[in-house]
Amino acid sequence: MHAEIGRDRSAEVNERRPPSDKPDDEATLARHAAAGDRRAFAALYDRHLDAVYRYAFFRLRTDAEAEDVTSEVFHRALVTMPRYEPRRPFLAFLYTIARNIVADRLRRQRPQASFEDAFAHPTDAPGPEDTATAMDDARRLRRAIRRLNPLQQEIVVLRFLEDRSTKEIAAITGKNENTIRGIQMRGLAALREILRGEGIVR
Amino acid sequence: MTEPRDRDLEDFARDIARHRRLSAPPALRQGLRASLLAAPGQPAPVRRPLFGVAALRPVLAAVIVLALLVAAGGSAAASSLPGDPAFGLKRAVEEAQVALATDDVARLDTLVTQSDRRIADLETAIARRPAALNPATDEYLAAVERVDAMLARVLQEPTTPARDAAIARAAAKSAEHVARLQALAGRLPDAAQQGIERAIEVQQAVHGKSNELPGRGGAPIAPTTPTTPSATGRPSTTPGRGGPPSGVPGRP
Repeated sequence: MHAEIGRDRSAEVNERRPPSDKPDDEATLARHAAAGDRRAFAALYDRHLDAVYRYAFFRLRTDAEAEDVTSEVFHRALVTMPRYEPRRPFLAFLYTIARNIVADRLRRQRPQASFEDAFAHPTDAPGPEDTATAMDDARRLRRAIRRLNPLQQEIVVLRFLEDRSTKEIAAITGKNENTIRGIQMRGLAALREILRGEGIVR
Repeated sequence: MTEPRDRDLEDFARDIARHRRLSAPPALRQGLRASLLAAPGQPAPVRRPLFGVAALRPVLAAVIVLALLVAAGGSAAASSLPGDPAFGLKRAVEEAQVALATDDVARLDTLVTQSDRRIADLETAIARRPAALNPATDEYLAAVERVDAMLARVLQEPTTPARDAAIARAAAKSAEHVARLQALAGRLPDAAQQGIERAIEVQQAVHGKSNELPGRGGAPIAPTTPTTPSATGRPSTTPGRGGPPSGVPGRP
């Protein structure tokens, strides 16, 4: 069934994660980082950079914006580490910062969003060193995701591209799990329709 | 058994999951790491300067409110609907009210009151000015999203009677709004229902969140359309049929 999509897989993914990704290990690192240990913060950064970057990549218009936001997330996290609550997963803490920054950006760019979305942003064009089909596909997917409503965007990205469980998404977004399940499936179906409309999927 | 539509969607989910391999560009990875390691030490908890910009914000907001009210005729703005030229003034005054609020709890209360005004605008638009329906729906959605965001912040704060009361009020209002939106949805053409459906969805999310307050069940949410069970006997999760019912008549 739809609500089950990815649920079993996420359990497998958790099992496959390296031993260093154990929650208690992460909590120790976070505690050290909160106390000012920069190497501990760097270890957390190494672990979560890609997840934060992907989240920003699929929520924003351009690669450059995704890089700016990723950078802002970690700098803001560094500053707010003393206020970090160690019982909370560190990635959830980062996502919370990321979603606030993304929301601020989207609010500021809302008036031009529909126009910008209609055309590929210049920086989206593959450069000479960046012709990989995977990146082109990812950018097409990003443009399609941006046509979902903001809540669907957020939940589709976290669920299907970041492989976060419904429970984790509920903790990150502050919404209840049933709401998340409903939105994730409607969002996924809407996304498929958009990509079908563009002839990208059948 | 999995329905064909379900399998399609499952395949689609698997297809987009390959993008989980997307990683940050190496230049960003190295540059950002170096910049984080070289960043100045973590600051001590922030203390607001007595006469800093932040401290002056309420004063500035008060001046703006006063100036706007005097200069542009507050009564015309007060009765304006979304899409009217005077509505911008009404929103500016509301923004200033939020800025004037002493803390996030007071801000939440102010935003809940403002969302109440937006649903009244929406009802007025449906009854008397169909042309204002779309902007009124957008403004209502924006107001609810502001409540949602502020509620998330207030929920992070330590429990106090004022905080709990503000959350309880947000929960009660969200339940009331869902009922009013459901009543409105029945009177709208199909094309106009999508916005109302989204509004119900966001309000249900606000309600769910505000009910997470320990020790309270929250105000009951308005009854919604029952979910049709699937052939397997388990609740259906097919898009458009799964998740929380929208409560819009004729819609999942």
